[in-house]
Amino acid sequence: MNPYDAIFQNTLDGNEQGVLAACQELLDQGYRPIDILEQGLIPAMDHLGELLGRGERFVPQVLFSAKAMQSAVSYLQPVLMAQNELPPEPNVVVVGTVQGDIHTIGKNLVSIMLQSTGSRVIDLGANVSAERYIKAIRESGARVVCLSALLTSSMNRMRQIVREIQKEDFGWPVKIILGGGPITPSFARELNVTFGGSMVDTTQKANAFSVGLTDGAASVDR
Amino acid sequence: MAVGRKQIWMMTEEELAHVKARMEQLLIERGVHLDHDPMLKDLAACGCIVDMETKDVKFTKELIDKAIAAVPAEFTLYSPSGTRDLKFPNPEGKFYTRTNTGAPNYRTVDGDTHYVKPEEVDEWYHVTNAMENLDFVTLPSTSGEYVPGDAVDVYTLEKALKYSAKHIWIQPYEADNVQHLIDMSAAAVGGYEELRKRPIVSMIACSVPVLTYKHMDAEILYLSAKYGVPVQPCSLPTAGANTPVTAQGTAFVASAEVFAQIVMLELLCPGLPVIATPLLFSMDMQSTYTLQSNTEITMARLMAMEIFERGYNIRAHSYGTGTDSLILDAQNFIERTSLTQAMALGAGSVLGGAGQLETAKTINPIQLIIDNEIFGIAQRLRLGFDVNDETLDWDELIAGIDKDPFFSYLMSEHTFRHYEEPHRPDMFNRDGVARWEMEGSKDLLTKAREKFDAIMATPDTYQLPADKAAAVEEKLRIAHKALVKE
Repeated sequence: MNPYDAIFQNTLDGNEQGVLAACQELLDQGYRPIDILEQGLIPAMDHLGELLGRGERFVPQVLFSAKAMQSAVSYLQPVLMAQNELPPEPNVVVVGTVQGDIHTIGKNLVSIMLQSTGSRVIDLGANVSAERYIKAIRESGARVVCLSALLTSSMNRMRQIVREIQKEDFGWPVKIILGGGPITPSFARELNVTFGGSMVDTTQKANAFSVGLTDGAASVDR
Repeated sequence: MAVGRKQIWMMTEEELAHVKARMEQLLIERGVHLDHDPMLKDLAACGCIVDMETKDVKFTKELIDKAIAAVPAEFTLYSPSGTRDLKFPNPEGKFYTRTNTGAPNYRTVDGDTHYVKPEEVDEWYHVTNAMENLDFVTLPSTSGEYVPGDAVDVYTLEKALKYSAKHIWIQPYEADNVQHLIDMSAAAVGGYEELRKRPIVSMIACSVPVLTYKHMDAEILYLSAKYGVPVQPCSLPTAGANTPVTAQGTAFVASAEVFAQIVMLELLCPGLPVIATPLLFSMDMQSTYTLQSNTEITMARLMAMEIFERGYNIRAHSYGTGTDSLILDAQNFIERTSLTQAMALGAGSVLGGAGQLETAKTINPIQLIIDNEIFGIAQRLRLGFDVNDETLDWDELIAGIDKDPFFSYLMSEHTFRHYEEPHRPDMFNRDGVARWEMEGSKDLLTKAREKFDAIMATPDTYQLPADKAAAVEEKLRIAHKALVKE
């Protein structure tokens, strides 16, 4: 039997207490925390993403699993640090709902999904100006920024914000992903940025870009 | 026409009383968050418990009762043309209908989809003026590509005021624009007092779940109360996303949010016409896509209508048509017909959403023409029928009139009295294959397209008088100068 099965299954089931108990059990048996993370927790979340994509899981299940995984990571963190085995620096993603709009559901879902897949999320909240996005990207070193809008009237503001971000020279490439009810692929194309069609799509595109960066193969919006 | 209306209720009397009590308790104990200092001060002066620092407002039972008692039992939403004034309650027992609001996309009759262009707004009103089962209109969301993005609503309203024969429901896009929208509407009727007496427009104000009103929407409530402009206060929750996942929980929150707006409006302007407008959605728990036409959310709409109409004798309004389908396919027509018919048998006074596709993100004139047809059928359902000896044809039956070998019901006196009653949809096939083939084997979409072409080939039936149009244009110029950041 694979020693990480219990971690994998409890994460899939969103069973926070079960995941923590399984982590403790493996640590007690001498398993390395980095292996628990890389062979138990992360594969479970990857598999969950596949199941969601195939319509075999529902979003609340994914969110409960993400919560269980976050608890496990917090639990493992001190041990990882003590063993000097911290996982690689996470991708940093800035997210926010554009100025003039205070709808946050989609933005919040994307934040949760990004966090659950290992990104560090700088969530600027709602009604975010171009200046705040730019400041957050500059300060955090983020290479991906996700802009959300629900109101039709916010699209004009979104267009202005995208152009402001595109004008900036950060010293590194920054991918801009747009999402929200009225946003269409053609709107994103017009602005030469990426369209995020859903929570999962946005998360996958943000993560793919981060992976692409290391391969030097990602497209760049800025 | 028959008048024996049949109605479906979603709640028992006990359940309705429970929901009402909980809704009022929510306003009393939790209150609302309102981002508008002048309105907060005015509400405090009315006796509300206001925390100016946190911008939270609570209400007392006495204030709620006083406000609800001030809601007018009867009122009229006027039409610019004077030909489609809407008396509430509807004297014929029907519901009123309206077009979809806020869609950014226009799908032309040829199937091209793009952001709404100004000339398509003209086209839209040309068609809406011709729709006999459509009672009032909204503002198509003209794109910021074609008019200044800071003033989309004022530019679109100018067109509505000039070309719509029917009452206009306005959705403002910016707090600063609200005053200008009212100024333009007043110019179209000859002044603010005239607008108060003969409101040809009403306003949309929306909450943000749960029980939060951002500055723009508070400004809409505040200025509408100041100028006596009727409001159809909205709540647009998404079940499972920003309100409880259960249809009942979402209907409850939406109703409470609308109820709070009505209470505030009636405290600020007793007697202001209001129509409670909970417009409910749900989130698909796999795709996270927001749905307009899911079955449970239709039931939630029925529940919300019942809370206001049956629970408070306040007129109520929700979606009466629409689809989550992206195109004019079978899913589209199954969803919108089942939604319309359910709502027609419910309590709502206004059913909205005509012409929309893609969860209200796209409007299409062909869909509008077909919705007009569906509304006609639904109105017939709403009216119901009487059951008595006359409608049973008792006299002829007991007399055995059919025993005469030369008798036919086609020739009966009873038939002669009632033969015109069945509703006959304008575009539906009601004949056999031979004739259908002879007339070109046309399906409904083809007939709707022909109807569209015929409407557009006919001069529009309404245009705002030149002096009033000039006054509106002058107000638009002022609005442009104030709002548009060049």
